[in-house]
Amino acid sequence: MKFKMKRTTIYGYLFILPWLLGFLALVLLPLIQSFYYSMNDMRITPVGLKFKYVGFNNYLDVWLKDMFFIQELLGFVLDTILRVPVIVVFALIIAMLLNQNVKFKGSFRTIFFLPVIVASGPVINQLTSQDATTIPLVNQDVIIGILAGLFPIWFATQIGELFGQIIIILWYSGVQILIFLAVLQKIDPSLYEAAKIDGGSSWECFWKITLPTIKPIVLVNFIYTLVSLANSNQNPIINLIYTNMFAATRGYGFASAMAWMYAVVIAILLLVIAFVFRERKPKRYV
Amino acid sequence: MKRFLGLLLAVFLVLIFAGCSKDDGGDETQDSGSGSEQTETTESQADGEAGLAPMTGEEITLTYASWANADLNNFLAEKFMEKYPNITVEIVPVEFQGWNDNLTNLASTGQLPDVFWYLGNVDVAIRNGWLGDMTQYFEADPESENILSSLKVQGYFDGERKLAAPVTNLPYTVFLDENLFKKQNVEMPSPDWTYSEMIDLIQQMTVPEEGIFGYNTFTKLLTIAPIVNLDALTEFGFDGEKYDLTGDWADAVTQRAEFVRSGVHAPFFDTDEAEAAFGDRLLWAASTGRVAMQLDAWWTVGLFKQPEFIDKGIKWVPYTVPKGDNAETNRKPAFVDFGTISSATEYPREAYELLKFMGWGKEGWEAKLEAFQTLKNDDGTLVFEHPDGLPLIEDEDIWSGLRALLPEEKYYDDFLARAKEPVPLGGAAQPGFQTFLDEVYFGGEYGDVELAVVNGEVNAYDIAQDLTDKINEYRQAAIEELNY
Repeated sequence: MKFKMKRTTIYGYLFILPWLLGFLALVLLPLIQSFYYSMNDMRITPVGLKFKYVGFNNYLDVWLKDMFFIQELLGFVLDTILRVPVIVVFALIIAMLLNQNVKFKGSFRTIFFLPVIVASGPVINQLTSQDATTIPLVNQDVIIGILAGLFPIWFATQIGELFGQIIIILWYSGVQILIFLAVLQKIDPSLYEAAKIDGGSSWECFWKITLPTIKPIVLVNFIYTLVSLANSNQNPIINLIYTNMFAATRGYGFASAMAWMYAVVIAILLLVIAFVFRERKPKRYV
Repeated sequence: MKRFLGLLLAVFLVLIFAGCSKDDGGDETQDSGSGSEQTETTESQADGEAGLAPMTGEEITLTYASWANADLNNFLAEKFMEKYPNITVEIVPVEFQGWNDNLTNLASTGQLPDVFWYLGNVDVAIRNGWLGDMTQYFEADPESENILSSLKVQGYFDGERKLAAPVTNLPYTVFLDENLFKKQNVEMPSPDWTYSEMIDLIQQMTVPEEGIFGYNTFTKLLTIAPIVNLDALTEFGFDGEKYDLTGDWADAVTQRAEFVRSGVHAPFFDTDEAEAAFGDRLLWAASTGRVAMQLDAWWTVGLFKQPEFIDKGIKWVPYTVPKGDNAETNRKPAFVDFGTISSATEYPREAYELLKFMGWGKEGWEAKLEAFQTLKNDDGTLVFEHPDGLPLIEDEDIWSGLRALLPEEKYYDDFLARAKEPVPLGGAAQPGFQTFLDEVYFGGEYGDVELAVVNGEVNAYDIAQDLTDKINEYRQAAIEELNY
């Protein structure tokens, strides 16, 4: 029996072929390479790479020998738990505002998306180093002082630092705003009209119509935000991996192992988010 | 189909053999080249380097990477090529930021330059096997005899092989504000001052009621003291075999902490203390006119001649780092960069010659002196308003040539006469040192050790033995890497 592909299937594959090739060459191959590196002690000699198989020793060393990895990882997790909801909620609010019938709607949308284009890694780094990403009127020390009376100091410091980076946090919202905007425009207006006829307030409409409808997209935005924060070059763990890559006693093998461990932690966080925002089957009342 | 596959296989095999035969051919060419080296060597080259193997007469290309001024690099490369017309020097552009990382990237693609400088950390070069062995050339070279005694011994990381060589010499320099000393009626010290005299003078010049600080640092007492007091070969009291942080290092780091806490040391840049003292947290203490001494480096000499300082009534004059109280030598810390030839270079003899020319060689230095006087920017100003570093050899002509480019004040005569035993800092000169700094000294269980001492979190004397043990272990481990 001959296997025959449908013409439409072939077209489909042709369309995704560039992506597929890119994925194989630029994602899958480096992934395999990086895993191989992580199992070896590597030397970058002038005549080529030298490998010495060390099994999972690099992975053990990441946890047992690197003083900064656990510390930075805990900081990142805490920071992410605080930042991600702030970014997503902010993006939702702005998207809802931009979804209103206001003048210059297009200009406003451009303004909120502009940082995504303009503020690339080096630009953000420059702005951060010049303290241009804080709001001068917001005194971080005062906020930390007040919070320290209510929470443990480590927690108060994290929240305080959140205020110090508030502009950066808002800059991370551009894409999420667009995603929310797209889904908000898809909600059938007749749902709101029906609710209004029944006496529903805007507040009730938001909780009973808007939020349940866009819930899957909230999950998408949570995932998008977490991944973009995890890959940000402002992330100290990314810098730590880079530093280890070129450190004399560490090298590519150790850095690859660290990158893999970091990827596992991010994957766990993604699973937690997916679990929290999963689609639940509606309860049936008999 | 079978025929097609057969044809494909045949083409494939032909390509493979063609590839192999090309390699073989390459080797043959190289062999024949080596054979012709003897015959094609010019008379003058053979005469010029008695004791050294002759240079090739073949047309070859050497790649070179250093972070020296680009104009200077090009100028020197031209001069080298004038001397050896059969050698083309190709300067490899490497970004200074992340220098060693960039070298690693070049090595990973098989493009490590034939001759290169490494930045501040020899461990990277050792671990990755970049260092070419130049012992036979260095030891047969009559010019090696002229190298300053404290530098000649550097680069023998395992005690036997010459794997790297000093290529720059920028001494630690202590600047004294002569006008402030006059104002305070304090006599300027002798150029032969000692470490204790400097410490006393720092304290004497501290006048809190007038807002005058004894000193400000770029370079640190804790680096200076163990070198000058112990006649050491590098930082932390290294005697050629092992380190000892229990004596002068512990004293100096404790003294420094005391000076920082008590306001003898000027407030650090961009701190509340700096704002309180100078009214501007971003003002460099050395440009306030309220600091008696600035512990700095040779490259600042030119800066301190700028109107910014003169207009404020500040007259910074250079002194060498003082001698140790009981020192037998004139060893003093310096920023000494190291260069090497690649372990994979096809032309080690010629690469050595290039490294020497660009670093310590007399002819190279003659060219440098010419460059300091002639190289100009687009706007007609000199590229070097101030000579870039001091010579690395004992040669009267070169030293007097350099002297002629400096201001006429006597301070410069005194300085140059006492700067002939430079001692490199640990990172580039000693295996394991920089890794120890990264993993223990600045990032270990005590955090930043110097900061922890200033903050009173640790007592330097309590941890000195532990640090000594660890740095010696790191050294040993790094040396073992040489035989990996």
